[in-house]
Amino acid sequence: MVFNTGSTLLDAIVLAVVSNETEGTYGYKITQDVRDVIDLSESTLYPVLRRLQKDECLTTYDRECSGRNRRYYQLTEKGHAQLQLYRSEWITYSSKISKVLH
Amino acid sequence: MNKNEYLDRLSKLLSDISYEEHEEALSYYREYIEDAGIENEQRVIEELGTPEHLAQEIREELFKKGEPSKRQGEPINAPELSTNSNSENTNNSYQENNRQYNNYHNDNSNHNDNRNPKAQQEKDNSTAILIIIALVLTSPLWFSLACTIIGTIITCIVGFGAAGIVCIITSIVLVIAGISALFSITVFSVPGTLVGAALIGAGLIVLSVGILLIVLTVWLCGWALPALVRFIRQTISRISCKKKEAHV
Repeated sequence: MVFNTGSTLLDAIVLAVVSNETEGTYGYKITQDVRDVIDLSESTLYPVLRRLQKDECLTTYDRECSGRNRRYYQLTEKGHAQLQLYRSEWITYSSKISKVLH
Repeated sequence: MNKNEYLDRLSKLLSDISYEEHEEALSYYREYIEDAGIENEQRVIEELGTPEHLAQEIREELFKKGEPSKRQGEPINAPELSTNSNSENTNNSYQENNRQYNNYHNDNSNHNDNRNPKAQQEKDNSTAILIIIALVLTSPLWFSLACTIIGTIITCIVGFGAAGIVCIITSIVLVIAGISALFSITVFSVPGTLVGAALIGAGLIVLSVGILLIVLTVWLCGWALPALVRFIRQTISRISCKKKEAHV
């Protein structure tokens, strides 16, 4: 893809991907889901997840899975609010871009 | 490079960040490689890049946390672009957007302000560490002082108690001797009644001293000792609390 994805847009995509799973989702799956929509190196997502976690947009819990631990990520109240903001921002932003770039 | 070699190398490269961050990052990437499955292990490790590069990315994000204004100044920012492209568009939705955008950024700046107490806490922690070091260095002094005080109090209790008991026994002996003297005619050519009265009198004086000493002992046991123990416990817990804070 020729367009760069800024960190804010990446935050929005990650929050959206995580919110799609009500039970929560884990690092590897989040990475694959995000990579389905944008170009992303495998290593990029950890710092993003860590930051969102520190910003209290994401919360984690550990679950035993086939004999080992797996960390699941879920949206917090704040995360949902942030995602809502990103959604409405994205609608105006993308429709304006589409108006000129079609 | 296999999984373990890769993670070992990463662990060494991240040895300078905090224990918590180190563990978080290591367990994330361990899980990540394991979730990819054994058949994809080599591919994932190659795509993750060198451990050096990965460590650099992790550290950069941590470092960015410490700089409050960094996030707002990021170049590629969808909301920012939308406000820039709004100059020709002056409808209500723009106003609304702008307000939301400002809210978002206010949120961010509030969040950044919250980091200052953290820095303050770090400062407090370093003072606490200094206090602990000072306490440890001067420990021969205050430790021996504390021992002396405790020793003195225990000696007092034992000494007073023993003296009190001896006094009471002596007084009983004196009173008995006095009573028996009352019934003898003379003791060492002194009239028995006189000796008896003197002995009983002396015995009662000694008894009163004995009772006084016992009361003092009971007071020391019942009040002074617990008070001292309480004081020591409080001091220790205060120090260990500071230690705990320092670890947080």
